[in-house]
Amino acid sequence: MNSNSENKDKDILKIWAKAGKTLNSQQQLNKEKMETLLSKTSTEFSSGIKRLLKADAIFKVVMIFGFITIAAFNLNNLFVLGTSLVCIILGAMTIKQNRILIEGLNELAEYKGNIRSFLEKDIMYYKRNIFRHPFTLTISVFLFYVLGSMVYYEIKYDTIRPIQDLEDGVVVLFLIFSTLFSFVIYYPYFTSRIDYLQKLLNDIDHADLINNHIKDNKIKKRKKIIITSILIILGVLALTTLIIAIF
Amino acid sequence: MYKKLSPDVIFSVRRVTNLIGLRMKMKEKFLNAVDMHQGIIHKILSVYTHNEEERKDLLQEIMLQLWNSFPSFSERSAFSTWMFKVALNTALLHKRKKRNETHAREVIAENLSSQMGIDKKDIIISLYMAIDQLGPIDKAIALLYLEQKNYQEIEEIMGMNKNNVGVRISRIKEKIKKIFEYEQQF
Repeated sequence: MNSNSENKDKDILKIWAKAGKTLNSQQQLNKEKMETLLSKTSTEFSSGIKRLLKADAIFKVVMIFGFITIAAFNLNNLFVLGTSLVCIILGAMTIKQNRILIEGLNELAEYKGNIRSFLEKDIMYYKRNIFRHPFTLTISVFLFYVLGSMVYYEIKYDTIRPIQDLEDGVVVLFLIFSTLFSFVIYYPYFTSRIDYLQKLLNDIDHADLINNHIKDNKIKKRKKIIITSILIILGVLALTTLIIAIF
Repeated sequence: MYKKLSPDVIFSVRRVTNLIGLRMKMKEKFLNAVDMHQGIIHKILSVYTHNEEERKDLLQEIMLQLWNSFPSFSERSAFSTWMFKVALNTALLHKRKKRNETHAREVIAENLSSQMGIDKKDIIISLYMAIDQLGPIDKAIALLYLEQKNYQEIEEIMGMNKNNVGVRISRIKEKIKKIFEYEQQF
């Protein structure tokens, strides 16, 4: 019985050894193919976040220039000067955060150790920055909305005023809504990543766990899509109501 | 007529050309090593992907990760061991796209040599399909076992608890055998 099982093991090992030598010639990599692959961009999660953070930092720099311009045209308006200053400081501070986060992601890309340590390092990084990531990305939405509102008032009324009537109140409400909406969108993106990594790590430690991680991840993704769709529909409905109320 | 370059400029130019030369040498060394061990990549691709598009994406990702982390490769460990670590880690963390189960058999068949007999192809496909039924970490351990890595190497690559490796491998072997026999019926 035991020798029968050992023979089966050997058979499987033999089949596997053959599998390596029976690759279609089209799939074989030559140096030219390899060089082409090296010239492409990474689609990996961390690389995607890194690109997002870089683009976000550039976006913030553009907006800081926008605030400086708005402030320069409204030197006598204390409300505009104060708001612009706060936004410029907030933008500059979060640009620094972007840089710290990118440096952290660069460290993650250094492969020194085993798979367990890669996973632990990844989990630690994302846990440490669970609020920082969505926060820094949300601030851009906030700044964009404030700058956009200022430009809107400047064009429509030739002046930027503090909250006075219902329309101003609605603008502030939308600012709060869009900021929260942005945070709600970004936050689960990172928590689901931590969950997935944590499950893989647990799986390395506990042999008894049922390996259904990908399925779990898929269900979570579907839930996320549904929640996002509902939030988008609510946002569009609120916007339509506002437009109808104004005009 | 021509202004003589200052020693600082000459030093900087030499440094830059030396760096370019070193990088080119490193790239050549890297490409040769990958070429020699490319079987590892193809096996990981066959186990962790389910369609051609996914296969191409993961191949590109593995190549990029290998190249980016090549400077950290210490020659104290074997290249294949290091390659397994990076490639498996990349496969585990790679974004998965729509999975097409029915297509999986055909994709594996397409990737196998056309000169191979249908019977042999079927056996290899059944083995791949059996491994495919395992979870992501079990797949990695199965790959290492099938590549005849010893317990110590598996421990080194995965970072697993010593006592776990043996138990885990015997469970995986049993699972593969059962699914493999079942797969062969089709």
